[in-house]
Amino acid sequence: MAVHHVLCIHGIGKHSDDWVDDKDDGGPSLRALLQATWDQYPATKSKGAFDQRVKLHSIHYDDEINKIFATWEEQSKKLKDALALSPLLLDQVAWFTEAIDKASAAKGDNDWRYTHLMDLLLFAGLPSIQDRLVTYVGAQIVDLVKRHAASGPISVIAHSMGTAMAHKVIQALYHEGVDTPMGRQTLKGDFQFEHLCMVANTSYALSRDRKNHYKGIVRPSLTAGEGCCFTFLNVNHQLDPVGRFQKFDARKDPAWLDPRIEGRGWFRDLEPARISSKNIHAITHYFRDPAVHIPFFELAFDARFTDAQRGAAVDAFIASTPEGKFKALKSQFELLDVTSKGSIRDLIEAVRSFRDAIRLFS
Amino acid sequence: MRFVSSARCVLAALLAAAWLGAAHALTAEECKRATLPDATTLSQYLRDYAQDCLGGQAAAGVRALGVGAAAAARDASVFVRAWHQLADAFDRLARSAASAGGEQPAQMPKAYEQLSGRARIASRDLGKELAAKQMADVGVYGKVAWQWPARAIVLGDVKDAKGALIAPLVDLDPPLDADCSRPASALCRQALADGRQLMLQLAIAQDLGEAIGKPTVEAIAAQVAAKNALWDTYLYGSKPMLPFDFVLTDLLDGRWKQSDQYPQGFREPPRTQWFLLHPAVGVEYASAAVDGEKMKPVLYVEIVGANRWNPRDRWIDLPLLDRLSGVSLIASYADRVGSDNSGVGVLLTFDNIYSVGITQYGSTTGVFLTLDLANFYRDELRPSYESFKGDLSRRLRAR
Repeated sequence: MAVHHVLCIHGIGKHSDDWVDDKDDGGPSLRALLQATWDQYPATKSKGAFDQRVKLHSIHYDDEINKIFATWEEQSKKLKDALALSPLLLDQVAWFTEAIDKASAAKGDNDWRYTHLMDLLLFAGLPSIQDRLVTYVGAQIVDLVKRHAASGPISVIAHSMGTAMAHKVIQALYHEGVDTPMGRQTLKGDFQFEHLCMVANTSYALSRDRKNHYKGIVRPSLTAGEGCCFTFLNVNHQLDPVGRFQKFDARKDPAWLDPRIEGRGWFRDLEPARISSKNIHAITHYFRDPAVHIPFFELAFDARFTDAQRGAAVDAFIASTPEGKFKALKSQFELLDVTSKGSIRDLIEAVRSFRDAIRLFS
Repeated sequence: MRFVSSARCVLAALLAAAWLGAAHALTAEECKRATLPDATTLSQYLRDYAQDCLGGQAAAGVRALGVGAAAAARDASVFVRAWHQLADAFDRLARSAASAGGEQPAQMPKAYEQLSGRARIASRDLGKELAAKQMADVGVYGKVAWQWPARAIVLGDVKDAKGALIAPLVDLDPPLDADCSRPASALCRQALADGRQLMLQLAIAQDLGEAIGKPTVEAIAAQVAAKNALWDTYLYGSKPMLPFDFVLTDLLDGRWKQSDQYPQGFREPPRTQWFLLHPAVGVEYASAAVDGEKMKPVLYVEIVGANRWNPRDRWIDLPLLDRLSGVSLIASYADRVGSDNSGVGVLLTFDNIYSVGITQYGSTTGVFLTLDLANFYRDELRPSYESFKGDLSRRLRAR
């Protein structure tokens, strides 16, 4: 049985090296969520058990950002230790040490200014740091390609700033050439991802060379060497500001989309609108919605959903959202029509039903 | 009534189980079935078959073509012969498919001929390129040319470096499904039997492409790993950099002008580290200072400096002098009685870590070592260092 390897690239924020197994936004991990949704549907279950069919890999770079910052902390500490006996000299260098102290305090408090802003400043604000992070992630990905490409398909899920990372890494990967006795070789003729799922896509917003953003290899294609994958999902929630800021829009360049891909429905722009929890930017919020996970399973795994199954999944999800639950509650209240009732018994019955509806609401 | 009620429960349970579906891929029996499952097209069944039923057959098929690792290493032309044999296999499938036609003409023979033609192009091109000792980056013999997506059995087109078409797209779903438009027909049964062979031959073709491309994938992986290691040295094994240093280095290295679409692949670190307003601490000796003030900690700031962190890029390619990695213009601050507190000077750095600075405070000249160099000598001259440290502390407390 072929195993499908899915490389998951995280976005801004605090992420461990095994982040797909960490609780996300106070709820289940990405792995747990994908497994639960896989088990929900015959279209996916019929392909085999999730943990035998799918292998998720945590691609990480938050550790590297932390390491870079740690060297600055270390240098600040050396300065403070060495100048401890001279307040005058310590004062001269306070402009540096105090800035590091503030950032360290933010790190210790899990303040978003460290966990999020630092990531963005380093990745987007310093080209050499970006180059380093891209190489760091690239080394992880190419190692996995080397080890697993022979045994089954490989796909990528990227989220938030991870989509910008995925774009740059894939560009670099396919342009990395080796000089051999038989000429210069790249990966273009030797490897293609199965599917690319870009969630809260910031790749265009975080691109400096926007003129060439849609001219590269990060697109689906049915011409060998002209695209990095066969199928592509671009997902941005209608209310998520992150993916909507200077958003990725493949239609800006008519040459980006291979018409044969478009004709087969292998590229989809998804704009889910429903809200199932507060943090609509969280990767699990996106994948909880069948409007996202069903197309993902369809394109990446050839899961075959009937219209009825799709409709039932959407209906069940809507009913589970806070908005859906309130709508259901409202419908129950609307059924409690006491205007035509006359007796006190009718009133008591109506009040009992009203109270039950509230009690059962969750 | 009870029996009917129980039977209904059992039936409902069976239907529910069928609808929910136990988690399973195709079973061994399903891999060998002679007719299609209900509500399944031939292309759908064959995609599942390729995922679940081939096992090690493709690898065995590659070996049967004479392409083992040892054979390929000795003679890459075994691949040329292997592609030719693969083409013959598709020809055989074309004949088999053609023989099944009855009332409804078979569609797959033409598709098999296209595949045979594709395999012969692979063989031809590979032979030519091996003879010319120049291989194309994207070839019909490469894995991607024979890789089909999860959603359909379709092989993409292949173009040469100038954009000319070498092998057109081959979409197998329509003819496969056409030949099984009547699932109970003899044509469909033959198409199903041939289709299993088709998926095996396509998997073998992919494996052949994989084997040809394996040295490239491994070389690229090694190259990226080497670049990653260079970055580790740049950031953590050379002169430490602070945020302003990164800003100046990126500016002077032209990194802002480089495309972040990475048209040349992964980048190596900058050749030169630049330093801007970089603070550090040293231990300074100023002979002209008053007694008790001669040896003092000194805060120095590299106003601007440069360091060649990689030994292969050093400025002076001579023994010992190639250890000189950096030079900086500095401002220094020493908390001394009886002389100016601030001075200017020059810092020389050796092997990224050990630095010697010469500073001028008015009429007083100071020479200092950075802490790392001081630490080096501390370890070598520990007793003197302990005495010095004690003396320094006493003097500072007395002030």
